[in-house]
Amino acid sequence: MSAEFVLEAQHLRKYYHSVHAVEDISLHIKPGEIFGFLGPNGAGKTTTIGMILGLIKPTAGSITVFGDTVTPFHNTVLRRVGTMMGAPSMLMGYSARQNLRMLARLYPQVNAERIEYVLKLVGLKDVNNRPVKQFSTGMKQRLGLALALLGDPDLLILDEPTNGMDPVGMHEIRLLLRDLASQGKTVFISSHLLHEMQLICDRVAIVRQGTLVAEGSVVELLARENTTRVKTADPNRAAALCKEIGNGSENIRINGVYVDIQGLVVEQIVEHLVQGGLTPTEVFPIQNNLENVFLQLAQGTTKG
Amino acid sequence: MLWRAILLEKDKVYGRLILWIELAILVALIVLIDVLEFVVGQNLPGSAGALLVDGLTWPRALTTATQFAGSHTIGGILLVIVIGVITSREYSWRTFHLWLSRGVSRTLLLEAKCIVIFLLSLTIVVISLIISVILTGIFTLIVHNNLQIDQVQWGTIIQNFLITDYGLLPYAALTFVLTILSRSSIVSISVVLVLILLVEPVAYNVFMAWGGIGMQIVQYLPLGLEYALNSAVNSSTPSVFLRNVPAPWLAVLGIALYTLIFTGIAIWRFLYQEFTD
Repeated sequence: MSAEFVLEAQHLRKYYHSVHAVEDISLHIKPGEIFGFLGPNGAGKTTTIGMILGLIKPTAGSITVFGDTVTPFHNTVLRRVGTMMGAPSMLMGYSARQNLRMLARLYPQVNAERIEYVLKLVGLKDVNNRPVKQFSTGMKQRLGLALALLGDPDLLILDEPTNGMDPVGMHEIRLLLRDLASQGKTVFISSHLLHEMQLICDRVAIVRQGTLVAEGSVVELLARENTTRVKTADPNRAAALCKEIGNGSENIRINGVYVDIQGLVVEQIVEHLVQGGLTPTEVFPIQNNLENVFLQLAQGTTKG
Repeated sequence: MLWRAILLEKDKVYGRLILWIELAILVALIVLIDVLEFVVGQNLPGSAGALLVDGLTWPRALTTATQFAGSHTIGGILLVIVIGVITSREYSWRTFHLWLSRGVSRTLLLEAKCIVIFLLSLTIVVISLIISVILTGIFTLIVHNNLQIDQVQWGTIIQNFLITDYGLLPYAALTFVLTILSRSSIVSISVVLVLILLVEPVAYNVFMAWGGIGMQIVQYLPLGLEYALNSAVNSSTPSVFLRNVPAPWLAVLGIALYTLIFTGIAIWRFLYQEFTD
């Protein structure tokens, strides 16, 4: 295993009898990056995170964090990791401060000042002694984040951290995560909020039915899935001509009078259409976003 | 790290309202029962009243001062409830996820839990002892105008204290393992309460009276083993089954075995348990 990566998962599999929750997922997270882990419900994200955190035993595969192997029986390296998995784990009958004090028992370096600091950081400084069970979902998420940050971890693993938060809260968390990354912390974040992920993440992986379908920087993924929209007098013929250029990996869809083409270069398209006697009247790129890429990959509508 | 985990467990358990409510119930019941018995004893004519009052005054009352904390009385019931509730909450609040994903090893976490459960049983016995000592001390002063300290059998008091706490351990361990296996307080509490309040006492009394192979078996139930220890220490304890109880060393070993087997199953199951969302 390479020390180049903060977190490395190799060929993870998790089978529950005939159900294959995770099917060969490999991840490589570099120091200081914000890595997004995307996928629809039931894609295997939380199971993968559970395996990374030693909560679930993989059927096959290996995990290393900071170069040290993690299994349910060997997890000491996780002391350097701050986590928030799904619905935040906390003692509901206690206040936010009490929850933090309790967890602080595990961290010799955490003192009362650090507890107040993280409470302020997540915007829970003034909740005083209200028991957590009276918190809104957003407040629980904030406390979950505070618990994750308490030990000043080098790696943060967050499963849906902005669930139930209002736009202001989401913006604050985005800034906070960016700030942490600028301090050299690594963030592994799973979320459905693709617009948020596009704004926060340096790299993302997309998982579908327990399998990784794409991994790369956000810029790369957006570029890879760039769409060119062409208008001609005969969309059907234009689509047929475009199919002649490609090697089968392209995705061509007729959209009314337009043809949307993915996987082909604009110059190639125009040249081939003109040679085929079909002059395009309009050619323009469609601004792509992570949501489109995600939907196409997650639903399996794209080839390659 | 074990020390830190113990402190964490201690904070969790002793910070829970349910524990303090249970201890308040324990204190209230001890006071209520003792005061009622004392009032009745004082108003009963003849030797019956005198016997009752004698049992509530020093020195005799001190040897039975932990009786309310015993495994088949209020203390045992409250211990089973608090262990079941606190352990099952770790699943429903997902706090097992919290500790384990912070690098606390599973064995270390369970070691800390077992130590704190032992402290919990000790707390129940100590509170029962303190309240009974204070109350019966007051009764003694009312009846005899002095505490009769020179007649106190300190050795017997200590032995009874240890037997009471030791006798709680198999049931504490059984509640713990059932909660780990079922992840449910309802299952573990109801099974153990039915066992200690109904199945075990009935089986023990019926088979001990019946004799034969049934008697040979039930004397090795935790109840029978605890009874054997009590009989060995309190020679004055009336016993219809005294001839048939196991030897004290065997009783000590038997209770330890029950506790270790239940705890061992809990640890083994917990090591392989998966914490999904």
